[in-house]
Amino acid sequence: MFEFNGRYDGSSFFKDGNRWGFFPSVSAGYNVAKEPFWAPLESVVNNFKLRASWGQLGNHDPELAGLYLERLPASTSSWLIGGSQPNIVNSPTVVSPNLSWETVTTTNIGLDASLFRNRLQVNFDWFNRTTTDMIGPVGALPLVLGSAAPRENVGELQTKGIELVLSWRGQIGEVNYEIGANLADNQTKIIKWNNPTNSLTTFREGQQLGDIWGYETVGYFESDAAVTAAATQTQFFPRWGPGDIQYADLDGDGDINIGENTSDNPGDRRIIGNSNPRYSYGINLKTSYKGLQLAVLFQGVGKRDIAFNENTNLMFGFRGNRWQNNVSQAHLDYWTPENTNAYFPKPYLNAQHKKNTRVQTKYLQDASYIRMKNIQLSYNFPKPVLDNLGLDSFKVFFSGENLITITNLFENFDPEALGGSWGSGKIYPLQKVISVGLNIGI
Amino acid sequence: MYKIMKTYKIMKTYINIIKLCLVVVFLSGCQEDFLDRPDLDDISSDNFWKTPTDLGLYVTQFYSGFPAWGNNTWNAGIYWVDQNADTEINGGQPNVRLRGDNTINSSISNWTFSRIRAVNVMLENFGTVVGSQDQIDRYVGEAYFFRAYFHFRLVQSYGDVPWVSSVLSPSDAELMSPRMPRNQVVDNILADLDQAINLMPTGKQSGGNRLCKEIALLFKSRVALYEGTWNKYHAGTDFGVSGSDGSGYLTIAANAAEELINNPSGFSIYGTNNPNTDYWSLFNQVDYSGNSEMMLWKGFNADGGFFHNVNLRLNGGDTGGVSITKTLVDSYLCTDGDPIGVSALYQGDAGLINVSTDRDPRLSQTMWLPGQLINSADPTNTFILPEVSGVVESIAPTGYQIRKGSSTVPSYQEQKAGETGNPIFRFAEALLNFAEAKAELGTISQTDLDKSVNELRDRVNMPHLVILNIAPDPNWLFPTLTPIINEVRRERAVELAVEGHRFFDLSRWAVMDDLIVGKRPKGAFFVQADYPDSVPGVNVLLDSNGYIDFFQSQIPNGYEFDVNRDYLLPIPLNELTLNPNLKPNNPGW
Repeated sequence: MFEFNGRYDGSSFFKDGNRWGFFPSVSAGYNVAKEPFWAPLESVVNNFKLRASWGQLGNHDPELAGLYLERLPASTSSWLIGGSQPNIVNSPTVVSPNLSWETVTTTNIGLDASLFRNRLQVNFDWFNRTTTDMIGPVGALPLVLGSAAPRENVGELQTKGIELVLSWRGQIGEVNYEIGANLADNQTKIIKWNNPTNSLTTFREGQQLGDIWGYETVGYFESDAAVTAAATQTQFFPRWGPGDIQYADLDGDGDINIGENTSDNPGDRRIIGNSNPRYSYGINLKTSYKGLQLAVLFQGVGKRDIAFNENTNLMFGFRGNRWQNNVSQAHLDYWTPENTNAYFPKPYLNAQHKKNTRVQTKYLQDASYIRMKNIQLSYNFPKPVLDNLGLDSFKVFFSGENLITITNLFENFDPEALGGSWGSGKIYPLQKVISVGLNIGI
Repeated sequence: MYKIMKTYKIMKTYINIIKLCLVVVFLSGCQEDFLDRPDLDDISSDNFWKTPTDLGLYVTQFYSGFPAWGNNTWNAGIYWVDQNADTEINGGQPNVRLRGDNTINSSISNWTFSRIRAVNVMLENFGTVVGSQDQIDRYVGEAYFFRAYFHFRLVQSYGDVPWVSSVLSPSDAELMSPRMPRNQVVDNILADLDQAINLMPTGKQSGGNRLCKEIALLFKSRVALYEGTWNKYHAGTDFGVSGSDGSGYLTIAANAAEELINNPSGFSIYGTNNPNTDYWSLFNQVDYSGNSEMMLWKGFNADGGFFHNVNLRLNGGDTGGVSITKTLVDSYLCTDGDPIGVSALYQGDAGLINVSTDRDPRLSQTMWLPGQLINSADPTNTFILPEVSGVVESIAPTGYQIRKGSSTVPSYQEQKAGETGNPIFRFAEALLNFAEAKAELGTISQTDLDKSVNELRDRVNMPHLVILNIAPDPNWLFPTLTPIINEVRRERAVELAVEGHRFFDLSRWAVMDDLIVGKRPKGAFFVQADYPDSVPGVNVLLDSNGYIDFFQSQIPNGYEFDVNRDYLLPIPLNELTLNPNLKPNNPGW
């Protein structure tokens, strides 16, 4: 089986001449199990199909519309003139005359198989998605420019990943059961980006998305003498003392700093983790015996790091000023001369707080988890009982959501609710739900 | 995306080829006009820069660049800015910069050039405009003013900065240029202001909501005085400008201010012959269009959705934890014209009544006193005493509570309902700039004082400052300087109290070592009878002389402002990485 597809797309977002893009795709499939030579295997492997595809698509973001034109956005000002709001025309940004389509090229290789009289199903996919001519700033430019850098098709980004789905259906006596599992994983890397200084303020070539740059924690200073003996940390704060964090002097220059904030000179930081979730999985179990049914769904992430920023009050209890500090039980484990092995440093209610809460190995969080997302147990009363009661159906059930979670993440956070527009974790929480019910049909 | 690919596979090849042809035919047919239609929301620059109206629409955007308060302001605007100086504190925490806690990572950065770029766009494009020359001149003059204004802010923060006078493109070599010495930048700023002075109309414009020639003169005197005193007092340090003693700039400052004083075009010191209320009511009017002193101001209209919380914060109850210090309160003269250290009229420091008796009337109009009316609708609602113990948000940590800027109109004291105008430029500053520049030059005469400082004294019915009859003050803040400089600086501190000028004044005078380093801001003398619930050492901290010492435990060593570093901010590290020609960073960084 083979097919070819082609698209020729035009967009008003781009200037005449850059406007049109041709995006072909091809795919092929080969059902090996249909071949005569497969006959000996067919009793075990009922179906075995190989798939491959390659295709390109044009991608463009609506916010890029018309960037090739110098436009002056009109609005109104809150500076009242004579008591009323004046109309104003705002300044143009730097134009990006050469913008054109981003091309997303996807190569996909897959396998579908069924074994043991279709009781075991296997689907596997490997993909490589490359975005070429990715639109980004022409480069990291000094603020003296007075505008965001113009954008061009300068970048290249590659995502590679796999997806695997397995399911097994079986029966032992009168017990029917079903086990399903899925696993997905991908990683994204910047192949090309215009950032000659390798500044860490933007993408840079060779970067794995999600990399976390941070300091290595030595431990707490236990004395003023220890502060004097250690590398100076005054780039974060002038004063240090017992109970404050000591950072490792990775570059050995006697000064803890961010260097030039480039990957070539990151100062005393290194990549201490990666926030991209890896190995997302789900496990699905279902079993039934006569009227009794049990279904359980687990899901989780196999590997993920999270570094909360220095002002995350749910993590550190404090925020560097007098607003929105919320100290929970766990935050009481802070450094004192009597509790030198504490998890948290000496607390401060002012800007000084931030010196101890830089992104660092000590407070890097393991955000991997497994969670029993859903469990459902139900019983359908059998026909004879129903007839006695004069009912068509009678079912009792129990169901629970988010009942069990296993994670190493700090207790104030939910691994599935880390975001929040007011700061990490400040988001409507996932709830544990328990329901018990009856369904009666008459 | 690979999932999308899957959906394709059911299609048959030949159908796709036919579709492809159809699509190509269809789209080719309409591509010419359809895809080239302009966006209706925005204006293309090809259709702009035609009429003076275009210039007006464009230049008006820059008015929001003034440090004005607005809907999202939860503080008391300019009345809270001086907490970065010796005259005011925020009990929440000692000012980070004064404390010496600024770091290259934490420093607030205002290294921004977007408005400068935007102004340059106009100055490069107005040549195509056809229409009334007066209209063109007025708006182009405003643009020159704003280019000067935005550059000056950079100079105040960073000293040497790039001077950007054209619209830069990403490939311009100028992006990588080094910083220009500060005095050259100031020269360029002054040249732009001269353009503005020549081009803008005379007298109050749009009721004081738009710029005019006189505002440019005032601002010119501010810039030149800033640079002149900076050159003079930082001379010989890393912050100084070699070869300049500042006298050239001081002369420019004096001349610009004098030109304005001699040709005020309707501007004058506001007053209604009520010395005990005129100064206070200058800061709580809703409409300044008829006010002779307010040269530029921002208006509000709560019904229309434009309001602030300044009146809420100053209403005699809510303090936000900000209050004024003993340093400021002690500056006010007694009504005989003598300082408190000398005058027989002074009743001593014990209690607000004693402190305020027979003092310059501006004191009672800047600071809340017992018995002053809070709510105009309720004569019994009067101020009793500032709170000095309790939650910092609702106390006056120094015991001296800010009244300037307050309004007794009850509706303005609600949340999001303040409507009093936001002063941006007022005429009084020109008088003070003039007197100070002349005093620094050593050429000040009694005539100069009479047309500047003494005009301000007249409003509040205070005796004139007489050059030959200055009482030596044992508490002069600047004992090594001449008596007249001390008195002119006192007048400035008093008249411009809590208007956000003080940090820049201390910086340009290079006096942080005398007034800030090792010092803690002190408050009122603590009178136990006034505060039966306050226990010294427990919920109110006092120094050894019995004055409130709010930061005693927070900064036992006082402010640790680094005079070899903190007069200027650090250039952001990323900028130094992107353009190494900006190096070296400012002194000490």
